[in-house]
Amino acid sequence: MTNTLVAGFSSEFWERAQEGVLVRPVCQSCQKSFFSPQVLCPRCQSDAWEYKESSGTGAVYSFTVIHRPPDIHFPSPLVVADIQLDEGWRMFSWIVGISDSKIELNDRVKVAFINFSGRKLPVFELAKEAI
Amino acid sequence: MALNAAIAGIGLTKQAKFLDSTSISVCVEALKLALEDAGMQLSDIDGISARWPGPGGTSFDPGVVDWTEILGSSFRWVGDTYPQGVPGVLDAAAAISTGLCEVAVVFGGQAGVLSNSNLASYTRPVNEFVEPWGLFTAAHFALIAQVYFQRYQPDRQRLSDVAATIRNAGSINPKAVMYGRGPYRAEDITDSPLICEPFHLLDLCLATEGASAVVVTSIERAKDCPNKPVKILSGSSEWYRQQYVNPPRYDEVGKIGKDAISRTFSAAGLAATDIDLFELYDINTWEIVRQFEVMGLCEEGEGVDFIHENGIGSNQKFPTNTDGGLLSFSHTGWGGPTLKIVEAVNQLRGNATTGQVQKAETALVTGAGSGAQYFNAAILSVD
Repeated sequence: MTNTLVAGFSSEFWERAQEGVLVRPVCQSCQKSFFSPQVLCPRCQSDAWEYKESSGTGAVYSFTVIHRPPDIHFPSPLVVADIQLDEGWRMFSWIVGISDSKIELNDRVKVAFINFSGRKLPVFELAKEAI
Repeated sequence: MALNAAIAGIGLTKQAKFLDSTSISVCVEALKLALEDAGMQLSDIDGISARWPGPGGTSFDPGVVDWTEILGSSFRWVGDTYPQGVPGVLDAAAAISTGLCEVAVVFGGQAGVLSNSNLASYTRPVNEFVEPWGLFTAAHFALIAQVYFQRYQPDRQRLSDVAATIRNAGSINPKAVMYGRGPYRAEDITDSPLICEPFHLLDLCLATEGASAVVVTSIERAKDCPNKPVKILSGSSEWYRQQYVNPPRYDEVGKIGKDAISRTFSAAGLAATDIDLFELYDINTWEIVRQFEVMGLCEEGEGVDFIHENGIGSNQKFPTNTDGGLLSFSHTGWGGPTLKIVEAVNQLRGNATTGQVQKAETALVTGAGSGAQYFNAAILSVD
């Protein structure tokens, strides 16, 4: 249980986010990206994986506009999305800076960082030009 | 190996938006009602599948063994895997069929835990990659429904009719939390506030309090009980992923339940068209439509039209969620899945409070759904 990988297996994601960098686990054995972080690669069960910087580009697999956020510290409406990153991994995030009616499934997005609840959160903006 | 198990007793407490009680108190009340219904006593139980709600006991979750303190019993069998609803009853039926125990109880519920906040805390998973985004249960389902809506563009009025039909079954049921509300028309569903697109408030299930319980035993022993035995014919589950952690996708779990239901029908030697009663897990309106599709009654994307043409009212072709369902009757957190079993048993005995289906001999009961990324189904029947 003192293995450093186990002890901090998810913390690097948030530490790098504070620097404005989006990272994800990449397996050194099968070369695949995965998310959320796990102790073993979900594809080949290898423990040899490392965080690598993501391009931060991807597409909207799905999204929902939340009109009643779960508590008052969230903005409303809130656009929560399932983002498919180009490196073949996925994460929950928000789409910011646009009215919901303009979002469509498969729209291209790029990561941005906002300050929220005392830390930087990786969120996504619709790509202004083809990426 | 075929199951040899039947439901011999059911118990249901008052269901309400808030009960000035404790989860343990209402669970024991439901348990005692179920035992009384089965003509049994606490000392008859030798198997248990029931989530321990605390306070007291350990922090183990679901902590079924903690019930030994209050119930004063040593058990031969404990179902600690998924101690409620369809999986809880199927596990109990398997334990009884293989001789691990003779009388098992499955129960659950909650009381004194819901505050006036607009969201029950248990619908917000604790995970560092989920919680920061403000997700809650309904939003996970919305992410899947959005893809379906975009691909198939279901008729919104017909979808709303599904919610209105089930809610109206609850409106006339004196035991339903929403009794006396309504009647609802399709327009009332879409006129209610948007919560998470595409779902409006009246598309979504309740978060309420109360408890329910069932007593499972062998078919032979159930025949000696006061009520007609309700046999547990078959069942199956699909566990794709842990619920509400990683994003659920339509392309992965949009048809979850298709295999479990197919296996359940096959093991019972029945087809969907043989079923008299459908107690489907209605966490939202669209999940009902989706389940009609995965049952194979219609093609993907045609659910609302199929339901519109055939009807899901208690006197129509596919009677569904006859007590008002999770939308209108009650949804008591982890106790919710067991409510589906209780209503199916009431119907199969001919004892439904309202909306009794004529000649109801077989029922399909389901649990969970696409956004949860797992699903389960069982068929119950009377001779």
